[in-house]
Amino acid sequence: MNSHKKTTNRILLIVLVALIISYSLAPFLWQVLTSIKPEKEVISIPPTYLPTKVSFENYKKVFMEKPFGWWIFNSVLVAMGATLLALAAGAPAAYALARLRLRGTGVILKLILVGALFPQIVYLLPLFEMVSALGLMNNPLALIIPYAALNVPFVVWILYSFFRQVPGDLEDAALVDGFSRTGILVKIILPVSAPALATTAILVFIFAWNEFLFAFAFMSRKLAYTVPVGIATLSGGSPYVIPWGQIAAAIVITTMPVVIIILALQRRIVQGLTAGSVKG
Amino acid sequence: MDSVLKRYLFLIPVAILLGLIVFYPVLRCAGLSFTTHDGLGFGNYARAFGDARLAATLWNTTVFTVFSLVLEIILGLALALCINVSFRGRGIVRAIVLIPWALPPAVMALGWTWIFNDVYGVASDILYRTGLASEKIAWLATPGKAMLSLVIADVWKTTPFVAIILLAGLQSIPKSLYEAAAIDGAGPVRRFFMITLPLLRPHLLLAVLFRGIQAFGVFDLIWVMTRGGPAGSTETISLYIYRIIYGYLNPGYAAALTIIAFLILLAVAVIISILNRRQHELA
Amino acid sequence: MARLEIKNLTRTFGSDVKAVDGVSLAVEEGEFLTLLGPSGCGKTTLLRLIAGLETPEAGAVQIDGADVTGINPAGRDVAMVFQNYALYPHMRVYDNIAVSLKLRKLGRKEIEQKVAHAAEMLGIEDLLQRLPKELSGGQRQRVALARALVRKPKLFLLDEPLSNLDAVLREKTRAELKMLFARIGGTVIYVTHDQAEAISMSSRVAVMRDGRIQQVGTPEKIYFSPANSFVAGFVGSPSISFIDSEIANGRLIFGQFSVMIEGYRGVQSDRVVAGVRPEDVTLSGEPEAAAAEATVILVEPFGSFSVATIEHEGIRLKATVKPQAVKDGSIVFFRIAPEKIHLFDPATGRVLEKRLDED
Repeated sequence: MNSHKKTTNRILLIVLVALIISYSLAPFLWQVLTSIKPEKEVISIPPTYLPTKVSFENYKKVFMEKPFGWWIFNSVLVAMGATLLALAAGAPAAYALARLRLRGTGVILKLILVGALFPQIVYLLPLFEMVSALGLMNNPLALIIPYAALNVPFVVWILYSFFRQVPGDLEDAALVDGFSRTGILVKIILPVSAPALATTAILVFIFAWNEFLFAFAFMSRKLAYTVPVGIATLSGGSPYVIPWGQIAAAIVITTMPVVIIILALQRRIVQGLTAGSVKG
Repeated sequence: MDSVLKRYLFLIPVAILLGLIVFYPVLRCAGLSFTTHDGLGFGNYARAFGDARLAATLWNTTVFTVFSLVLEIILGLALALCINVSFRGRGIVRAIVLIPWALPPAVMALGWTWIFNDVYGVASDILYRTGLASEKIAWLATPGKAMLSLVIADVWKTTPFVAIILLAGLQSIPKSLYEAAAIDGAGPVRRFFMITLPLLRPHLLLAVLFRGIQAFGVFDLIWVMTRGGPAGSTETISLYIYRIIYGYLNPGYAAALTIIAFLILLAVAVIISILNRRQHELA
Repeated sequence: MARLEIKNLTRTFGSDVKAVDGVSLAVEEGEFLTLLGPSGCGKTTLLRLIAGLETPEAGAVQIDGADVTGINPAGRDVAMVFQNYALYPHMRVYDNIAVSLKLRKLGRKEIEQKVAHAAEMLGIEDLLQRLPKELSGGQRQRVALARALVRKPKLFLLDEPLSNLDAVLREKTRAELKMLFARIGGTVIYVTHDQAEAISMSSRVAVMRDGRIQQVGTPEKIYFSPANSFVAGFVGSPSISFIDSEIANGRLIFGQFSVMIEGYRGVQSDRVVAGVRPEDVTLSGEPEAAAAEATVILVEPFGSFSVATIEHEGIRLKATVKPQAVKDGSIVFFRIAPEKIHLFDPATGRVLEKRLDED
């Protein structure tokens, strides 16, 4: 009886897990399948599910016919710049709030969090003004700075909760050894918190790699596009010539790095997403 | 001793970034929103009050937000409960579950456009083959179905986020509570409503807050999949504001709409945090 | 090496918790002074005030006559060893030791030579390329010491450096530390709650309680002439017995026991608390002059000696005896050498001067 129930539970679990996996992966896998079909098979009616013949011509075309390489370059540049800036700005603040017993720490933390609360559309108009006034249209800085700013609240919160766990003696030892406050942050606290920094960096990077609205609004030259904007414009033109195979290939290329990061660093990301998320 | 004032210097970079990109823009918008062609005044807000398109977009935004949110919370909770059970390979499954959340939304939106394609799309084909639909469906070209497609795509993408937040909540509930309840004779369903749901409330509110605000401001998904169509049936407030900024060259009115959206969100955030605080007082 | 003087130092936490309450203390060059007390007595806070890790509300810290009260830890030229060692987990042992020298902009050659010397003194030459997590507790402790030694600071501040070691290693390290500091002749302020450490290592001990110093003196003075019942009770193992007694006609009386106290001149009180160390109580199986009868209620063997707890008319006291000299439940007769009895004021706990020839 008991073992029978156990078997039933086990089968139920397997079915559920299979369901979850297919729910999560199916839409993505469909792009993979589409991308490796020859052009004609992509638009066959009715659709074929598994490609009859595997072909990589879509991948080749994306790079040959579109400035896809440039878009990837822009995306990497912007995402790395934003990540560095957000960490460089957020880490000192998180350190000061976590360790230097500032007056009003609670209020400051909440004020910073407000910055993460609102959707980007709220900032679009004034930022558009600023970007135009400063002549930063099509300049990566027009994305790096806002991305960093929108992520700095998360950086501060995650690092704040990690820095608080660093033993206080370590900092005292450093003070006695002759480190300055900045020295302690750079030489002691940051290296010791390397895992937290990595987590935070991944989250900012993913945000910046994925962002669409600002990139769409502030990058008007084709060569200045980031990948999401570039791919979104692939679908332009007459509906009958939409190169779905190439689009699918581009989708796979763009999402692959993210998929790999997630698979490799799942634990860290979950930690980061939940760090300090529920304090009240 | 380093001076107390010096310690605040560490906050300056964050203050500059947030001041420039977050706080200044809100103030700037507020200022702009009172600027009309004929001087300062409430003209933009008066106009907004009579703007039928604004009313329609707010309605669309609300429909999208509410449906997405409800489905995300239900599915996210189910997902969290599943991946909270310990089994071999749970790490991999958790990673796979996270994937939709991490993929670029604009890019995956295009993927969904392909899935919902009326002629070659796999969504239509599955329904057709299984006999659930008698003919191919023009998902993105029919008003109600377009909204449904958007909700499906959004739910798929954001359920993992909800699940992870709720998973953290589930893991913070002491096992001994369940054991005590089980000894008292409560079955699994009873335990869920007696322990899990009430103790998960702060996490649920947090998920609702963040997801609600993000769904309200949705842009990329809708822009890529429908451009707000067909016939404006999926145009949300973000798309409308974007179009005014880039099309009609009326910054004052765009600012007024931005401030209206901002105030709605602020009100929702305040209500949710009050609910959250009340929960803390009860506990 | 330097002289330390603390004047009237006060540090309050929260609104009214006085962790350190008007403490004054002078530590001479080359001295090994131990701050001894139970947890929460303020000894660690006092050490941190000396290091500059805490800022006092009042009072001053002087090193070699120079006021350093407002100077940060780095500027005081002191070295500190922490209870959990506080080694930088991301740096190799070599860098852990060398980092303070690097910050003082010493040349690379000089740093290498100094690190090598410190490592040799502590016998950790082979560990220099390891990370702290690859070391045992004892090895970490040595690295922490080397980090302090390498700078030749004006003061060594040690905060319970042995408390994370197991008992055997602790005793061994205790002796090594004493020899080490005797060799380099450093001025050491050592914090511990372990009276055995304090008594065995220090040239002087300062016993603290509730943020105040109770008594400062050589270990002998602290042990043999405690200034109050707290010091008497905290120092010594097995611990002193306190007996509510009465003084009448120059005799100390409790129960049936009575003994003449030579030259007792205190008239503060008829009632006193007598403090009797176990080794000053003699037991015998036969009745003797000036002895009283008692029952043995507990025998705790410690190897070379045993501690017997005896009861006399409801009054309990401890006596050190030879192994297996007495049995549980047996009847014994006890004597106490009168000159070894400490008398305390029952109200204040302060010691009552009892000898005319008190120095």
